[in-house]
Amino acid sequence: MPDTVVVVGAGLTGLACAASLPGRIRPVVVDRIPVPGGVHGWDTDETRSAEAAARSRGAILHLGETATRWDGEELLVMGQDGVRRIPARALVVAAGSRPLGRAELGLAGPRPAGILAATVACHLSETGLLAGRRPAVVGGGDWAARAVAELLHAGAEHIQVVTPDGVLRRFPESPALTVRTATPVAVEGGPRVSALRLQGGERVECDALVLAHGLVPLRNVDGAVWEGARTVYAQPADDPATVSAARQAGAAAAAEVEQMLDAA
Amino acid sequence: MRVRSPIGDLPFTVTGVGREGGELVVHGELGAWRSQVRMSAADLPMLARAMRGPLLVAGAAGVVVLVARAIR
Repeated sequence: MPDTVVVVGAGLTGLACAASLPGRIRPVVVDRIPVPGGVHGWDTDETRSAEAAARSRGAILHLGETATRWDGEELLVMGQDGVRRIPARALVVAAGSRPLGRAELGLAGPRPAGILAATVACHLSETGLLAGRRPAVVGGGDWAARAVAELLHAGAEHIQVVTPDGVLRRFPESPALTVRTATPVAVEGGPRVSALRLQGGERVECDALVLAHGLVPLRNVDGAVWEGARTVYAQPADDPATVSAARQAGAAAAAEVEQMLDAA
Repeated sequence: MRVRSPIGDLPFTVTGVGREGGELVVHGELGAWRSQVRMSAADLPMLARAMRGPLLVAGAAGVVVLVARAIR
């Protein structure tokens, strides 16, 4: 019976990892979203080809199921059919990355409603739910550009972008957009956010705050948050994300898993 | 077929249509999730309201076709 290795994340990195594992290993890929592709999307040639490569390698895909806990020997997964326990020799975390949260940005002040991660703001805007008519967006990278485009499309009247490091990706041309380089230090408002305070005391008035600065690995499997027994992390944080970086990270994780199992 | 949802655009594949206990049931898969759309007679007024515009257009087009045929 081949060794099983579980990969959490069916994005391009996770699929590339599954496809790159040696033949003596049976890859099992788990993703909470019911389609493969992750942030790259399911309806793309790259995703179709990555999925086909993983499946032809013998990978089993459990899509629409959420990995919750890894104890070094078994992954606990919750899905439509209930709880699944997947015994495995190793875990690969390929769960992608996310923008920095409020605490990581060091934003002081009260905790009013209306502060969203860019990932959430984008999903809401795509479904026609506008986070705010006059939102402020912290960040100038890929997630910020995506959030600005989605907010404008959803009907935002004026967006103020505050980029802490001066980075500015391809932003849409719009008179409703104001961009400045500054360091945000605090949030004001209650019960809903009313302003973002900048270093030096300037205030950016807003009715929603979208956090889109920086990228850190998304870690939400208990037992595999920082290190974890028999755990390999494959989470490139390139901004913007690229297909080649995802493939390289997946292949590198597969090689690391092989070394780990050989050494055990 | 696609369904736009808060977790993104997902593919919806219809795998069967049947009747269960007076309901019309469309069986399908939303990505990997088994899904069903169930419709009963109580849903007809809502559907009629939602489709009022297209139904009126279709009705008007039908009348035009009938009149044109009668004139010939």
